[in-house]
Amino acid sequence: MQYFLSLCATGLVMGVIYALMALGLTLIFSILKVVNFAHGEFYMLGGYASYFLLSTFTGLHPLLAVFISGLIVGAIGLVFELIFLRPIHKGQIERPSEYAVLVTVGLSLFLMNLSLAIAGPIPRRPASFLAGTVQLGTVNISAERLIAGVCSLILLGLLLLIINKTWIGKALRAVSQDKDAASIVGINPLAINTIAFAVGAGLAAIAGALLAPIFSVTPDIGATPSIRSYIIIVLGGMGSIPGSILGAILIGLVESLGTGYFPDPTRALNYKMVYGLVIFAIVLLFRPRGLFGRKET
Amino acid sequence: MTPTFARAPRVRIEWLVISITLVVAIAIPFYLEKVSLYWLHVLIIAYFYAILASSWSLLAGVAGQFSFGHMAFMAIGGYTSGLLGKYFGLPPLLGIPAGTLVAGLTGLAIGVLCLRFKASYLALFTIAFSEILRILIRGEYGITRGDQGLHLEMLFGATTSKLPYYFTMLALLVFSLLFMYWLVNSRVGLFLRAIREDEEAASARGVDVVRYKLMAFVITSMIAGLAGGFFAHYIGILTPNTFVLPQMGLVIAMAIIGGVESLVAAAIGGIIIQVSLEVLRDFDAWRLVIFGALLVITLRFARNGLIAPLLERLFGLGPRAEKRKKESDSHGV
Amino acid sequence: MLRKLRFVFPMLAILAMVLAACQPKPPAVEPTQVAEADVIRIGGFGPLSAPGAYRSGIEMQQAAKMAVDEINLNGGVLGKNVELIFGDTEGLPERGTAVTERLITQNKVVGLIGEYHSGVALTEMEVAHKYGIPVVFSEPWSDDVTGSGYPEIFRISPSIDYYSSIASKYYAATGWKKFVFIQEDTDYGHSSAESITKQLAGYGITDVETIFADPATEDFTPTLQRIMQNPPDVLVSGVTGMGTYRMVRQACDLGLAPTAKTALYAADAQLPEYWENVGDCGQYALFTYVGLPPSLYNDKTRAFLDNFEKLYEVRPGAHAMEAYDSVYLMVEAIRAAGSTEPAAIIAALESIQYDGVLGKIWFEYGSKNPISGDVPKWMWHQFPTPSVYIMQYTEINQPFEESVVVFPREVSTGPLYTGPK
Repeated sequence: MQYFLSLCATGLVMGVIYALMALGLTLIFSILKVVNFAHGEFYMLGGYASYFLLSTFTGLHPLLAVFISGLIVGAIGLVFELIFLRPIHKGQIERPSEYAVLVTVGLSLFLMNLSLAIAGPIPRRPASFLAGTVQLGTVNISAERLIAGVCSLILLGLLLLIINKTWIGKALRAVSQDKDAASIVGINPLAINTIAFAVGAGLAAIAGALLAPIFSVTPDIGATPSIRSYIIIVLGGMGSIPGSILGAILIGLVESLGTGYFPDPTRALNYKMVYGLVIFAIVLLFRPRGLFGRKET
Repeated sequence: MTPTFARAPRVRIEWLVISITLVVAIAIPFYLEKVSLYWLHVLIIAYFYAILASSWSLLAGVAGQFSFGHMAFMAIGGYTSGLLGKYFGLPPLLGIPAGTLVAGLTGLAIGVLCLRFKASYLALFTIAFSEILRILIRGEYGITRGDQGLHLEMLFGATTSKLPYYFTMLALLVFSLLFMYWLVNSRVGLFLRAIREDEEAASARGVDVVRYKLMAFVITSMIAGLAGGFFAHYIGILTPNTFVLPQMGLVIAMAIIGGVESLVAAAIGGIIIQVSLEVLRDFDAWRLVIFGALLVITLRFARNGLIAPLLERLFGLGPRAEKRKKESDSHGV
Repeated sequence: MLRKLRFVFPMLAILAMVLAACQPKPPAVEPTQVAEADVIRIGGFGPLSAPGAYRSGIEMQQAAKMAVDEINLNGGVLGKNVELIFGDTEGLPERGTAVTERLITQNKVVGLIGEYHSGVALTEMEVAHKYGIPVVFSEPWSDDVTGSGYPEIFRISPSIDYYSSIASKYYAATGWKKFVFIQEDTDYGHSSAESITKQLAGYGITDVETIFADPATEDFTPTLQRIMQNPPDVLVSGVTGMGTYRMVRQACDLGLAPTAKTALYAADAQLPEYWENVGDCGQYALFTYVGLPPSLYNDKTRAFLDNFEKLYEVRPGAHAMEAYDSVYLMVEAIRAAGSTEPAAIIAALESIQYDGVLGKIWFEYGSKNPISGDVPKWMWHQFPTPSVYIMQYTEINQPFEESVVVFPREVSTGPLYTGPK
């Protein structure tokens, strides 16, 4: 029982952090109708940004560095959106959905190899938020993970608040539901697109920067979290914000419990990604709307 | 209403270029065998990637389906043949067709399940499929030898000459291009393009949308499986690292930079990129940065790729010229 | 306007590609007759890019280049300069085949050195055997490399079997009874797990659990939590690179290891990025070092390390020392043979006695002293006593130079094991 609880605790904390990253992907998808295949690379850039910030400005607080990293990568996302994605919505591109897949794949190849060329292969780790371990009941969790989880929770709450309560949130929701109607009431959908992409990239980067002291950074770390985020947004029903948060927590739990209870412990770790992927494939086949998805219009 | 005499010399130039290319392709290995076996090897690998890039361009450019599983189908072809050889003593000449068949069947299964949905679903599903397959092959070390690599019998036995492999791969490239060219210009190709442009309109006009989409997916999966089988029996070893996602990204880059709507241009893109990756080897990490940038910029500013417009401009090949030709043909009839 | 741009842009891009392609690069240039008479070419191979362990491969290339430059400064060999041509295998067996083929047939190298991955070495050695070109392997560990018995193949790194024999001797000496190994799912991980389980059984230790993981695994926590249900005497991380650093931190955060109950062994703890990546959790970690420990450095080792740090601004790992010595071995063999004929070089390597950065190197078994009786097959052309030491960090942020040699006991600089209280 205690083993089960400790696995659940691990899964929950990771799930909340996954949610932050998946939420960025969802935001981009629901507004721009584009799956961002470079999401893992934004995550990786977030880790590197916080590493280089902290090693350049030694007095900087690690948590502040996390948020500055989010801003920096958000700015990169902004520029990319303006040059490469805006033309889609201006109708300058034939077959936009295909173009969007390919151009983000291209961006991911470019960013990954660029970081390899600049930062090199050696694993880097930014300074820790807080060393040590926290005892929650009978479960040990590292202080870093707990802080990363709490930060993610706060950010998630903040985002939900913004989306549901503020003017900009209303504009976002309006554009995601009906672009033309939104522009009639005076919302500029192009500007909303750019904001959504930049915020989405920034969220991935914050997730990357939060996890960087826990997992370290190399140029190729983006692949696993990005595939995980795709799984999550399909589970959550492409574009549903509460759906992707629930999906992320579900994946966190499935990975943790799956590894903990896999019948052949020799292979349990090897197949860690497979548990989520199998659920993903099943959901895609039998309930393509996603577990928590709203009906597509 | 183009006058026929204006079109005639253009056709002749086409044939001239094709025959010169073929003569060069047939003659060059005899020279390279004396000078550099390594560049002969590079060419064989380049043809292999040309097959993958052109069949992916049929899938993406003509049928509008975005699969990230193309390299996985390639690996299915190779691994099926290798495993059948290892455990049942099946010779490569039977193993390769078996691998092609298994790749086709897997493609059929995935297609039946996924092609009902939008393009991004297929992309997501094939990423998942490719990763599951890779993890399984890595994990089931006892059967597949995992990361250490599965050793395969060489296609032409003990011979150390690369010439038979060169000509096999060249023939495979030429025949798959001819076959795909025929397919694209047949009724099937017409339907596929109609579906790509407007699925609902095509369906309303009585085109069996799912059937034609499925057909394209299965055929290109089989071409990838076939190429994978030959590749594996040429290299003699297969590892799960040959189909990691960045490698799939490279095939996509080849097709896009070449020109995703023209099979020949995509194939040329594959050859040029594979060869230049070798030439630029000294730039290490930066060469892939260049290709990533080139891919994104090509997509944005040269939608038809870098090779296709050249082909069109110089020889009247390529998708738009094909379209023009067809229009004038139908006008003529 | 736009239509024109559409045409001009691709033309420019292709022009740029062609221009880039036309620039002469040393490996692409055909050796001319004159050049052939002037230099002796030695080929190197190793992973210089992903998915290979390029971090180590690049250092091997740098060390090998350093050796060649030194040799040329001292007059070369047989009156000629030595040229090193290093091929990138990307850690892929199929690339290894192609690179070896290129080095031999196009660059006309007379001998080969290097390699890091066993799986790649096993295919490279087939090509070298086909052409009869001698190879001194620097870092692959698989028993099958020298176990092939090919006349061309020599090795100065330990075989898996040899490494396991020392590790298991150490484990037996500590009195630990319960073991958990988390191994990477590569050839190295699988074969070292198999070998060490067998050897531990020889000491009557049978409570051994082995878990395999991708070296890119992010989170080992769920598995570590399962292990915590019944903690072992030692948790061994046989995952290289970042996997180990992650595991060390996660085991420490959970309070699993290192503790008074459970010791921790971490692969790749000797690398300079270890402390940055594991932080305070790195204290008390045991690790294996292949190469001379600081207490046994000779003058050549010190000179090598100083020069390397001066040139490349990083303290190299043992694989760099092995690559450096491999180059010298090959050149010394050419000098002794007085020719670049493969057969003559192989004969010279069989009887070589060379004092290098790694100490004295020789190959005990070969055509003059064939393997017989109980001697394992991998002893063929194998440096019989490569340095394998078990070491430990006893302080936080302890520099590698100050880490403690705990085994073999004859050369140890501290107790058999220091654990947390």
